[in-house]
Amino acid sequence: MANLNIDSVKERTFDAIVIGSGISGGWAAKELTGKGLKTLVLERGRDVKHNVDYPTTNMYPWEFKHRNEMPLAVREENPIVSRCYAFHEDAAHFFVKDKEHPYIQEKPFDWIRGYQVGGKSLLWARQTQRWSDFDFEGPARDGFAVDWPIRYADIAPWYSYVEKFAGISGNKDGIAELPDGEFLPGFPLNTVEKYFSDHVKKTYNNRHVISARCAHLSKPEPIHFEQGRVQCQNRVLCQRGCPFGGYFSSNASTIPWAMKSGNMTLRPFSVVQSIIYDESKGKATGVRVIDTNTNEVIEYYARIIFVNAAALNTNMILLNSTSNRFPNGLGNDSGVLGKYVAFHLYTATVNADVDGFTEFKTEGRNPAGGGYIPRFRNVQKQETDFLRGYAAGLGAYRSTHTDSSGVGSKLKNALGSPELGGWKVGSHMMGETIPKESNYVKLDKDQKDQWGMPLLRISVDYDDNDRKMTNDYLEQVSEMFETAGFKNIRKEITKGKAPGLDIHEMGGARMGHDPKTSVLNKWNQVHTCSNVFVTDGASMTSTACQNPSLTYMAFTARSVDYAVSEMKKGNL
Amino acid sequence: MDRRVAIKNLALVLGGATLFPKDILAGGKNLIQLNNLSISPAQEKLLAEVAETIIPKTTTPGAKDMGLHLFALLMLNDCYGKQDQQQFTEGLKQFAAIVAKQSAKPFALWPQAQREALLLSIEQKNDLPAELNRFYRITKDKTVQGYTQSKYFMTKKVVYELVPSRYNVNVPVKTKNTAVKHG
Repeated sequence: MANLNIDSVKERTFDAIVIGSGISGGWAAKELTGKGLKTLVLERGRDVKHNVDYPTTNMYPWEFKHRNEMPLAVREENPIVSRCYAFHEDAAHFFVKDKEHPYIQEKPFDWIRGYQVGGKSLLWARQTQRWSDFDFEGPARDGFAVDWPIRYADIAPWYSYVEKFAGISGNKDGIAELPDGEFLPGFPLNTVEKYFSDHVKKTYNNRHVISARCAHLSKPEPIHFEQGRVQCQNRVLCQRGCPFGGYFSSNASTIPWAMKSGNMTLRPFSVVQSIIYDESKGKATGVRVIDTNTNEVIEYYARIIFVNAAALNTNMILLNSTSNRFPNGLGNDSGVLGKYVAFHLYTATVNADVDGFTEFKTEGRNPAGGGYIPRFRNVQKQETDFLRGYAAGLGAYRSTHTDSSGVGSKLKNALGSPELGGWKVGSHMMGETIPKESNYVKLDKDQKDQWGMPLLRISVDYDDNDRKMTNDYLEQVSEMFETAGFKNIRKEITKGKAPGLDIHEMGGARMGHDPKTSVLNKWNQVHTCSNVFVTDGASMTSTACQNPSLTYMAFTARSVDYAVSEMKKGNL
Repeated sequence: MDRRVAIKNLALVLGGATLFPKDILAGGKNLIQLNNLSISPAQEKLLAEVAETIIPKTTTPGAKDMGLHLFALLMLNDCYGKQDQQQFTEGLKQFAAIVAKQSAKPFALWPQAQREALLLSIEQKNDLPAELNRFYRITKDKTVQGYTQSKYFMTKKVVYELVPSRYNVNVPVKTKNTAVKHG
C-alpha cells in the first residue's frame, strides 16, 4: 500500500476519475478536462501514442513476414481472437491474446478486447448511425427489457455535438428511422450500389440503400485540423492506426485534446480492482488500482467517477465493488447488474453476381465500405413473427480476373496483366437482439487472474427470435437481390459464429426509470450512488441494430455535462 | 545478377527469417532454417528450380532472384498444419524420384520447356498421389503469392498504392486491363 500521508493522498486526489480510455472513456476525458476538472484517466493496458505507436501503419504488403497472415502457432494458441476479422500481422499488437486475460465461457462467447490507451477505438469499423425513437421506444412498445428513460429528443443535440468534433461523413437521407446528423460529405455509392439503391426505392416503399455513414474526415473542418487531423486518404488500413487521423479514434482525437488542456493525468498499466464506497458519505470516494508493472495497490480519489471500461469490464468492476451497503456490487440493489446482456447478430450474408455495368469501374478505396440498408422490419408496427429487426451492409465491387493456370513465362505474363471481371455484390446482416435475464455475466467465486481479479463468467446465447430474424434477413435480402436481377445468389448463415464476435456486447448495467429494475438513471448515473456514471456499452437498455459507438459518445458528453452542472450546484 | 545482389533480394523477401550468408557462399547448407519440417540442402535447391520453372527469369526477375522458394518454405513452416507439411515433404520426395526416373541429368539442367512440361503434367493430372499434388499446389500457390506480393511486382507490375487519396465511382472502362491494384 502506498504511503498514506496527507501529501500522498493529495497527490492521488482529482476532481474526476475516468476508468478506461476507449471510445467513451476518451470522450469523458475530453469533456471533463474541457470543463476544467483535474481528471485522472486510468487505462489497464499500455499507452499507445498517436502516430508514435503505430508500428505497421506505413508498411507495404511485402514488408509483412507472412504477408499479413497469422502464423498457425499463434492461431492455435489464440483461437478466440483469431476468429476476429481484423486479427492479422498488421494489427495483432492491438488485440488481447486469449491466454493473457482468461475468462470462463458458460456458453461460447468470443470476447474481443483491446487493452491499450484508445482501446478498441483504434480497431473499430467506424460505422456511425444515429438511433431514433423507433429504437428508444422499442422496449416499451414491444414489451421487453425496460423502457428507456430517454427519448431521441434528449440525445439528439448531443449526437450533433459529438458528430461535429469526431467528423462523420454521410448524406442527409431524410429517413425517420435513421435520423440525419451533422455530416461531412458522404462517400459515394458506386455504379451498382446506386443502381440497387434506385431499384429498392422503386420497388419497396419503406426500404432504402444509402451511403454508409462513417467516422472519416471526407472534408475536414477547422475543428479537425485543430486536433491535428487531416483528410482521410482512403487507405482503408485503419486498424493499424492512422497517421492522418483520417478516422476518429481516442488516440487521434479526444485523448490528445484532453492532454492539451493540461487537466488530464493519464495512467496506463492500471487495472481497476474496485470502486471505493464510503458508507458514511453515501457515495463513492475513489478507485482501487493495481499497477500491472509493480503489482502495487494504489487508491485514487475523486468527487465523480466515470466508468468506461468497455461493456463487460465495466460490469466486472461494478460487480467487484462490494461493500456493506452493496454486497452484490455497486448500485446493485435490484440484482439486475450483469444481466440483460445483449449483442448484435452478424450471423448471415447474401452474395451475388451482377450482369452488366461493365462500362464502369471504381478507382481508389471507399472508407465507408459501401451502402447501408437501415432497418425496415417492424418499424412502424409489429409485422413479423419475431421482434425488432436488422440493418444490412451492402457493397458492390468490380472483380478482377487473372489466369493463374500453367507455369513459366505464360503464367508470369498473365499474373502481370489482370483483367476486369464482372461486378459482385454482397450484404451482411446486423440484427438487434433482445436483452434477457438469462444472458448474463457474473464473477467466478474461486478463479482469479494474475492481479487477483475474479474471472468473468459469460453466459450469452442466441435464441429463437435471433434464428427467425436471421432467416428473414436471408429471405428479404435475397428477394431484393433477385428483383434487382442479380444472379447466382448465395445465402449463407455464418457457421460457428458465437455471440461476441460482433464486438457489440452491451448491457448489464442498464438505464431505466426504476431503481428496482435498472442500475442507471436517465443521466447514466448509478441510481443509488449518485457520483458514479456509466456511459459505455454496459449502460444500454436495448441494442437497436445500428452500430453503437456514436451513441456511447453522445451519452458520455451528455452525462458529463449533467454531472458537472450538478457539481456546480453542489449536488455532487 | 551477382551474389551480393541476390543475397540482398533474399533478405528483402524473407524479412525476419534467419539467413546465413556464409553458408550461401559455401553452397552446402540450407538457406533457411525451419523448425516444423526437415528439408535437405539438395531438396531446397530442387525446390528453387521448381519455383524458377513456375516464375522464370525473363527480362524481369525470376523466382531464384527473388528467393520465392524460401518464401514458400517459410509460409509452409509457419502457416500450414502438420498434415500439409508431411504431405509436402513426401510429395517433394516423389517429385525428386520422378525427375530421376525421367533423366539422369539434374532437374536444374533440364531445358525450361522440359521442366515446364513435367510441372504441367502434374498440374493437369488428377490421378497422381495426393502428396505429389499437395506438394505441387503449395509450391505453386506460395511461389505465385511470393511473386505477386513482392516489392518488385507491387511497384513495377500491378502497382499497390499505400495512399490512394481517392475513391472515384462511375469511372469509364477504357481497357479491360487493370493498371492499378486496389487492395
